[in-house]
Amino acid sequence: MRWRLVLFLLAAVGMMVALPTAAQVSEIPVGIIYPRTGELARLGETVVQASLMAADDINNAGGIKSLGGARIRPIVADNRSDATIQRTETERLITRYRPVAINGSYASSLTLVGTEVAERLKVPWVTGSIADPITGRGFKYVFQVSPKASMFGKMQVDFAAELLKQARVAGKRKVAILYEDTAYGTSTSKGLLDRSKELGLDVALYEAYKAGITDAAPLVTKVKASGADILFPVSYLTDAILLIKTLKEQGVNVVVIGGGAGYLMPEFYQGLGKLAEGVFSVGSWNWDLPYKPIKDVAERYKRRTGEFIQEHAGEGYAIMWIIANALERARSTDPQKVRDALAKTDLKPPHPGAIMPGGCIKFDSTGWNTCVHPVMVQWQDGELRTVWPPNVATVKARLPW
Amino acid sequence: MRPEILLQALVNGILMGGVYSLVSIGLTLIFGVVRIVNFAHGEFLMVGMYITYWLWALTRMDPIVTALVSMPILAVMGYFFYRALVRRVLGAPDLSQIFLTVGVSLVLQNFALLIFTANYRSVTVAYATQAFRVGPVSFSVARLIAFAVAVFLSLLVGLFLGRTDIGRAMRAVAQDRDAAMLLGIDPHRVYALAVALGAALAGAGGSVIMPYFYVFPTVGASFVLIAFVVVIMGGLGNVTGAFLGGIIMGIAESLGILFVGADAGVIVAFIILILVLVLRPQGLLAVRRG
Amino acid sequence: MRGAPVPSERVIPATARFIKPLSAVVVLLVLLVAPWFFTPYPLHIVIMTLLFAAAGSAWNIVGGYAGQLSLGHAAFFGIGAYTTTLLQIHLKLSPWIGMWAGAILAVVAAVLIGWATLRLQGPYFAIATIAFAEVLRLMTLHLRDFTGGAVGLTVPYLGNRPWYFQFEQKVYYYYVILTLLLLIVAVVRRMASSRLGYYLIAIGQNEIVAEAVGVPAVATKIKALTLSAFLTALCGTFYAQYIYFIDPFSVLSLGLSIEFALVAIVGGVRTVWGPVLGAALLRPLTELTQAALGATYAGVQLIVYGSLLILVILLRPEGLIGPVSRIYTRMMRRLEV
Repeated sequence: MRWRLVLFLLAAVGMMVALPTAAQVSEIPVGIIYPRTGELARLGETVVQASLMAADDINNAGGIKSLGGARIRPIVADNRSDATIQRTETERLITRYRPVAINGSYASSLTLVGTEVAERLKVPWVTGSIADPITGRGFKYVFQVSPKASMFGKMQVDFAAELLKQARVAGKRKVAILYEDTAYGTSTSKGLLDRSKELGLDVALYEAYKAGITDAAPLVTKVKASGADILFPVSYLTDAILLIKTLKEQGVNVVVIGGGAGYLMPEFYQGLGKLAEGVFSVGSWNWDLPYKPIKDVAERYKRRTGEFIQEHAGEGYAIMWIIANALERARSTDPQKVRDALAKTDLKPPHPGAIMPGGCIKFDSTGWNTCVHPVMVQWQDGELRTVWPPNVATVKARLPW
Repeated sequence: MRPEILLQALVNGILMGGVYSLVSIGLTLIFGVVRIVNFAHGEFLMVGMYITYWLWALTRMDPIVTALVSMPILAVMGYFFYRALVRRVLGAPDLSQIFLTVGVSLVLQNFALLIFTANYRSVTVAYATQAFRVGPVSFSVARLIAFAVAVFLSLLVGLFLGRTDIGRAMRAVAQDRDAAMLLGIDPHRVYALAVALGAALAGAGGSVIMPYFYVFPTVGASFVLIAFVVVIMGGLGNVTGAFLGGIIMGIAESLGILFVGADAGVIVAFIILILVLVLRPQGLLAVRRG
Repeated sequence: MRGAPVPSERVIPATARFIKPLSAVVVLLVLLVAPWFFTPYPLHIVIMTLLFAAAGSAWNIVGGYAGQLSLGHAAFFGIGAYTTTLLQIHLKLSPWIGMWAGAILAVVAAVLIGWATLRLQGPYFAIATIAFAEVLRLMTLHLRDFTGGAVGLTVPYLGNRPWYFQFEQKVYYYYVILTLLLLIVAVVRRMASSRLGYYLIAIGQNEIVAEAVGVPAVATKIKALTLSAFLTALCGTFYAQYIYFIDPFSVLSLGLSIEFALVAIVGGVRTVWGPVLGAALLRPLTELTQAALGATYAGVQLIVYGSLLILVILLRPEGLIGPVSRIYTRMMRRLEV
């Protein structure tokens, strides 16, 4: 009897000694900071869900092998869609949990604040935000996997020119640009104007409007007055739905090429039904891109959340794998070494992190992913499909004319 | 500028203004009678919108018909809002009164966030995108219905205040509480009724805009600021003023967007408000007394 | 103090005379040394608490003492934040100088707003201040070439440059905001026992009576508003420099104006230390509920916050400073005995 007790005690002591040391190497904290409450919560939550799914996938695939199969431990923080809280939460996340890297925050203004903190505290930050200044400030600890805002407008206008060419319509050259007065709208609309002028299109309207309109009729009347053939609206979901409904109501016949955001969300189709059919938009990612891991991810995401996986969520998923890959190569949980490894990232399909349009993931000296470009999508039979450019298109665009 | 565009802008403004009126009448009624500026009024609207959404989502009830449900529910809510909270700060300084309603607004908004999440929800009805044309000007069916209901309810409120005993009592209390008490009117009953009625009107507003609008927890904020402007323009507590103020506000916003810039609609409205406050702080319609 | 021994009564005045200054020195020493023992995150909470205590105290001059419920103080805060940052970006002007330019601009705005609105009463004034702040916010959004619009402005990162209001170590930001808070509290204290203070309290209690006894109501209120605006703008400068980023949403929104007022109300308006107490309670509460619940139940922390506000107004409308100061006096008396 007594030797059993001794053995038991020994085992207990052994476990107490072993457990903490094991825990130290077996879990690697990775910060995930997104808006989960407030105005930006809707999309923020999708990114959190996709990122958590990616963490599970990484852990189920054996964790970080070069660190003895250590598991990713996602630490989720909520910045409440507020720049001040983003500052606090980033700092709390870093000083309290010592994450090796941070995945955040899709909305550009929030990412700009968060990266200011991370740069000072020397923790690498990987983002799917699109604002140009994110990698334009000479920061060393920020990595942008997504296309930049300035590329969106060019892609949209080039696509419009392509549509006009394919449809062989003569005399349709008038475009209207209407963008919300947010960071997103302001930063993407400039490219629309510049490229339209370059291609010799007639810009009949170029104006900002106050985001969160209660009525789109005055805007639509303005579009109608301009006589535009193509409308480039940059707006969030609610404004987008109102705008499309009101265009129909007032019988304004324009081809709509949306500027991402609201035009890509499931509610856009739910709110508009048939009216959404044929609407184009630009996006930084889509669920049907022709990269192998996406199909499985998209299906499991749909089972998990009940809706299709949206652009920012897709980016969030990729970001977790990109961080995991850097950890693998860094063989260390030192944020500095992880940062150096991130800078040398070179991923190609079928790696689960290499799912951004353009295929590969490779950062330049500013931290921007040089492989990436925006994509053009269209609502077809209730699904958001990629229609352009040819290297990523999965279906043909349905011509509006 | 082609004349039909101007005409269309005016129509847009008037139709939108009808809804502003409806929301504002409730706000001004509560102020006029109880002397409380209700910062939670936008949240009453939000609750009305969620009621409409869920009735539509679960039973496919037409949003306009759901007003018959949302109005009584909001009335009950308004009644308890008065009994449990507002009544306790009646004699208190403006500060306690205003921030009590700010607190209620915070709680309601975040309660909605907790149970309904931040998702945007909208209903789909056949007439949502239908419009009929008179010459070159198009009238949206959904907006026209909302406008008609708003005008109808406003008239009803006017009749109620002018023709019924309780309505007259309400006006009496609004004009002079002490005198009304001397006449044997119980102010607490009248107050509770006014808040209930004001909340019910916000609920109706929530129902009639759902065919072309969407609901989310912070939706009230975009309306309540405009409603404040409207209520001040019309004179705090002045129901007719709030109605006309709503229409003027809609027109100002619509023309501001057309002539000044697409993001200038609300700026124009606020500048009008400031001018009104500086030049005629008693409201546009107020008659100089004494 | 029936039956107290006679000899000790002679000693009490001497010690009592020392106890107040002595405790003040001890408190000041603690305030100076304590931050070195804090890790960055708790220190951040302390800094935000001091900032809101400062802004709440500045609000208290108008909203508390004068009883003019401003819900547009974010306008002054934003003017301070934007002026300093724009001067720094375009003219490379140090924020230490820019902050005074921002404060003076806020005073100009306050005179304009005050002239237009301070003849209004109660809720009219509150809503007019909302309108002014909203116009300023919308204009900031509209003039995007100048203000950066919704994209906001980032304070250029210069590393450790004390002359440019940038410090590698957070503790120096703490000293800056502590100084600002002490300055504002000192101003409020002085004002409270000056002619301006008495005028304001008279106006706050009953404006008509105050005017009847010869208080120039509008002029006095404008004076209070300009003083409050000046101090609020300094807080705005600190915010911009400390957070590194400003946009119309974060420094000009109605929510911010409400929060300044909240801090003062929960603590106790028309008292020198009320806003400080309010900030000391509310800010950590916000931060801690945020940390504990933020990620699990969206919105819970704001429900708690709103409920607390309602409870304070219903149960302790004079703010929480009342019971706290009673405890304080009791403690002081016990120390003296």
